[in-house]
Amino acid sequence: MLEQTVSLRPRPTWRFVATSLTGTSHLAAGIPCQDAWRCRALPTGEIIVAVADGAGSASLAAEGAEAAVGAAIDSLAAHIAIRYISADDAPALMRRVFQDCQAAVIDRAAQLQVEPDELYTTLCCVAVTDNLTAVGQIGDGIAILDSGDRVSVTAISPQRGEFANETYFLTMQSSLTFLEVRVLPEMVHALTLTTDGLLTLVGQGPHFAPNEETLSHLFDFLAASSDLQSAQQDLADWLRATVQPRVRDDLTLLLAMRS
Amino acid sequence: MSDPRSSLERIKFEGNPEPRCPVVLLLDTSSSMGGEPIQQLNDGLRLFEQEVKNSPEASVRVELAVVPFGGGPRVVDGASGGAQTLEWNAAKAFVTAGDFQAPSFTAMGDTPMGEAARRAVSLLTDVKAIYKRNGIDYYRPWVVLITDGQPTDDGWREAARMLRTEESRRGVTVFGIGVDQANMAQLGEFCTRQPLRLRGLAFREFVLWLSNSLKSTSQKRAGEQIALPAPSDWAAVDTSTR
Repeated sequence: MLEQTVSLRPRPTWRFVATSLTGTSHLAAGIPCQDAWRCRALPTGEIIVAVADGAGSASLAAEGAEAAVGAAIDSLAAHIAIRYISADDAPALMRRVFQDCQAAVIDRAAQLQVEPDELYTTLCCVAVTDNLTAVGQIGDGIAILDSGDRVSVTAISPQRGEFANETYFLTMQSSLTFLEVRVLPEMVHALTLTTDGLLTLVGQGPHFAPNEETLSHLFDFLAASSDLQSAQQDLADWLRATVQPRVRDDLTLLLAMRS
Repeated sequence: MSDPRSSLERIKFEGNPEPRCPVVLLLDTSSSMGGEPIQQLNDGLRLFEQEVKNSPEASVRVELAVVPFGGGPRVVDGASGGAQTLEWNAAKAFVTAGDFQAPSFTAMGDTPMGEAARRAVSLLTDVKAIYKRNGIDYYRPWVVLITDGQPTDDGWREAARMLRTEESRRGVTVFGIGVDQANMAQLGEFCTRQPLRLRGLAFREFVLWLSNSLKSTSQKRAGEQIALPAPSDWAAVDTSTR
């Protein structure tokens, strides 16, 4: 999952760590981790990230989540490579990215000879360029952005009805009508993406306000980590010891910040 | 430079972070339940306690309010085996399944099922408000209504309509379970899905089905569908209802 290229030009460089842990309820039932993540720091200074959470009710949800994040990163990278993207262009671009991701999941379902609803998955992705930060979501992921002055903004909150286990999926009928896009006209300093298993870690209160104290510690951890491979392991060990005993769902946490 | 892991160790992660599934057990403990039926119901509650406590998911996610309604509905303290009757306060009425101690009931009184249904709707409305205020996620609540008879209180039809309306707008899932000579047509007025008649006094099989079903409620899904295990070994086919 780890892809990073170091630029020789004076472009922003990014450091990131991420991990997905199989939920203890999944382990007990013999179900694989149905979360997936991808992150790619481009040599031209942009970073693109994605997380997906397959539906527990779908038999091949893990396949759907993998297909979605892979397609999200490839599509975003391709669009960024061919042209400058203004803040005005970003919503339409994000829509095309989600169309690409839908097509990728439907193709994967066809390869597996199942209906697309067996690969139901959410998708949340972020692109950070030198002039903007764009977030797109269908489902109940969480994207939190930090503009550098330690003020965290919940860019995208989970899309839910009243109940915790009901949300939208990428390949549902008319799902693009549920696509939510947020664009900040600046390159953020840091960002966090999670699936809903970590909602109570990074968010708080009835409106999922960012838990600034927790986020501050997470970014301090990333800033102080000189070896990102070790940091990835440290993050997984900490989630396993601290969060996993009390949250039964799959857990995915992605942290990225500019060096 | 300090160990980066020290930043992680400073993070506070306390309380029960799991989403909750509130469940109201509306139990007919009227005099007609005397003898073997009330004994089987009490045994079933003890088995239910074991089952939900043995489930890592249900023990932290399911929150139970136990409302017997023989002679008039009351909510009993589910954390002390029903030793006390509590005030109608959702903050106190629900106990997390891991702390549940099964109460034991004696059959007595009439069957004010309508008033019991009103109380259930009220408790669930209030507990959802408490969850929202505290930023706690929750699943769709359940009402499990078990009776061997028919409503005896005035105005039960209006209460039944209220519960059914709540279910129609997806605010609650209602399971109507008829025992023995239960009036299944009237029980059917309390729920949108067809009530099921317990085969004999198969409370044990029903309780195993109920606890398994509660374990499966947390799967993420699109919209309305709840995929529950088929109630094949405890429900009798009953053609007398709608």
